[in-house]
Amino acid sequence: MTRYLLARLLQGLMTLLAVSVVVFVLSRLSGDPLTLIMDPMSTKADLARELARLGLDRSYPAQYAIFLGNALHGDFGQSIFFKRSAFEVFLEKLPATLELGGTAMAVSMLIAIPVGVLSAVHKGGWFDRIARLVALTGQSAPVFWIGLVLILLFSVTLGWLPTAGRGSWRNLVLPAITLGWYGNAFLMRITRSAMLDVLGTDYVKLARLEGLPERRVIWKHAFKNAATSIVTTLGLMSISLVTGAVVTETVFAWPGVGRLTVDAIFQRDFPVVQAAVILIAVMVVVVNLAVDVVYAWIDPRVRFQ
Amino acid sequence: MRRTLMTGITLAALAAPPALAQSLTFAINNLGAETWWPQDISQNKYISSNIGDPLIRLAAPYSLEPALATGWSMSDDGLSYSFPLRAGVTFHDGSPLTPDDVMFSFAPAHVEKVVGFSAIKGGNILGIEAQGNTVVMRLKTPVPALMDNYISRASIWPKAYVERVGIEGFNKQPVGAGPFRFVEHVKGQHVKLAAWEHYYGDQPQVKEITFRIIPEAATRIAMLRTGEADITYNEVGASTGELKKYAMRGQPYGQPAQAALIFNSLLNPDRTPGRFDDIRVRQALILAVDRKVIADAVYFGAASPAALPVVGTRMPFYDAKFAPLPYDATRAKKLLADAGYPQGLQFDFVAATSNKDLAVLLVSFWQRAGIKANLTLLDPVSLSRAWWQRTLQGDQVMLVGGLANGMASAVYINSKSQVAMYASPATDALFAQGMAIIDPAKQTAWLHDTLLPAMNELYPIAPVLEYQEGVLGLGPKVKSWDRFDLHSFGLQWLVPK
Repeated sequence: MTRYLLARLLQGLMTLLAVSVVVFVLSRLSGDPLTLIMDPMSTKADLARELARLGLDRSYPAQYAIFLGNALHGDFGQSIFFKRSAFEVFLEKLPATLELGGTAMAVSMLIAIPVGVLSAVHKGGWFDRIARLVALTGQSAPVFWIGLVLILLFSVTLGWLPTAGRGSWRNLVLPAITLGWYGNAFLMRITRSAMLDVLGTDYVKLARLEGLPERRVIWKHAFKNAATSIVTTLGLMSISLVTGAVVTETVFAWPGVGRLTVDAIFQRDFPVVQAAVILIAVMVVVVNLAVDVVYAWIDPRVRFQ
Repeated sequence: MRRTLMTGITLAALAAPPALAQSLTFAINNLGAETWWPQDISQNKYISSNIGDPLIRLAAPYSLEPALATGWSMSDDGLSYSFPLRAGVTFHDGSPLTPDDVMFSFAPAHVEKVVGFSAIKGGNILGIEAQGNTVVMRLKTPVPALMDNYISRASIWPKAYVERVGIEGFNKQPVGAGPFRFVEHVKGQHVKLAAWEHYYGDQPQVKEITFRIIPEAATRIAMLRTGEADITYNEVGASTGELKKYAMRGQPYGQPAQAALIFNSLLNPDRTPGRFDDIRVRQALILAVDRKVIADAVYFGAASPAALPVVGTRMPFYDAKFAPLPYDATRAKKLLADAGYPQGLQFDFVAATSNKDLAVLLVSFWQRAGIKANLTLLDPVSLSRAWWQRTLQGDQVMLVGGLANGMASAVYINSKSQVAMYASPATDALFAQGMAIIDPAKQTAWLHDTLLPAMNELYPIAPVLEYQEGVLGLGPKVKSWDRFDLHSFGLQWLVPK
């Protein structure tokens, strides 16, 4: 188990290093931020002075070496736009994203898993058909569109829920549904598929022949064995909830890291973009590691492979 | 006795601040870094310029008005400016406005931190001193458009208060002498301001204004429809159409701006002369297009055909004799034939994705006149990079947007600015001549007598449409709003129902 975990950890670190290179290069390729923040009256000398002040006049390898060294100490530099620590700016926005993502995840689990299980149990029936249709819609409709449709329906037309912002639980409903929409559909389909695989196995048939109650057969024998796929999906979902927050947070004016990242990209605020992408990558690596551990715990065969 | 009492009550009622009507919510796409000082060119100005007032205000459509200073005068050499301060002005903490506060606000150490204040950075403010209640600012080199670009953008802050609480403390609880005082700020979400009862100017008629940060335009419009917002600020364009679609009032706001065609081949000083060096070709591209139709289709009537490069027709020095070129496809074809392209023209055309509709309609009109444009759409950041860093090669034409306020916008055709747009000795000479004129009256005369004819004659870029930068959506709680400040909206002139 220790060797397995160490191997996974090493893979995670290599991933983070690769991400740091990619994000550094891509953010530089989009041009320097001064073209956006300097006023047109400034001269080329002004531009050169600002570049030097921000350290953007050095070679890319030199900038990367400094960036990496500082990042290892948790220093992602000063935000060009916010004029304070990029790391602090990220941390300030993180709770809002975790609140939104956590709610979306909880709603998805509460809806998608039972529906997926029931859909598999009643395969081909009306419940299964409706559930599959909903899942298909959920996976094919863009998050942006879903968000605006929900606003038009529940805020503009019915007036039940606020349109945007963070505050009470009422503010959380529409963005959480929007953010969880895709993952909900995905989780439902995976649960259904995993359950169908398990429900056809000999031990489930044997359990039924032994006269065990159907509820016990489904939830104790079948669901437990389908859980490995579901846990993996939940891991992937938690990642997509953070990355998906980019769109949802913009539509619903939710002040989280997704919106921060989008704004930083348009403002070419390198330190914030770098901090956001790398810290999100760290979160992804940690979640993946956690999923691997749970996976190995549920299915001992994994450890030995 | 009774009469005296009644008179006393009446006088007291007249002297007391009026009961303010209500609280309004203003949905805006962002508020910049959400720190209020130093001010910069980002949207934090919409908060800081309401809490703090400048010495001189830039009002709509484009005029300078006294604010904390009762006026200003300039020395003949343009190196010294005097600002007599208004008497009896108090900051929101009750302290009086003094020359010390102005000197503190324009201290070089503070100005250095302000992004976008390049012309008064780098030691260009030699000194600032008090002469009685007048503040005198001395410059190292003359700064054209000093009032428009710098003085009107910089609020005056109370020295004693800032020194006591520090910049961080100030950003948590800013204090100024503007029409609204700070109440509350929840980062990334909203800022609440309340009317300052002892404002020296026109008293605000709204009790409280809450700025809510809503990045997505469609969400802001939805909030206006649900009544969650009473005012929205949107980029001109699709939002204008949305407002019209739902029968909501749209009020143009902001500085004059233009969508224009610029010619990549003219940006390089070492270039080989290309097709667009010929003014007839540049004008043909405009004549071939029915810009009124495009303005109505893309900007829903909020734009109109532009007349001259970098100068909007709403600028006070504009002369109506320089009318926009008409839609005349026959004349466009003739100009092209005269320029040596009887079979038409083919070129690469680059536009930002945000201008897609406009670009597609231009291509469509050009096609009818035998002009074939191969359109490439880039995201706005990539396009501005290509423009400013000149990474596009050859004879491309770019569709860009920019301000059209005359002298300040003329930097777009000056190779010495960082935008470095035009590598033309003629426009450089013109710009140098304009920059040397510091006296506002003489400069206005120069703008009218020299810049307008020169733009008409040189036509260095091809102006397509003109509009104001944005549109304010007004909900049912707003009765009227017809006077504006170009940096702070001018919320004190907002009249609620």
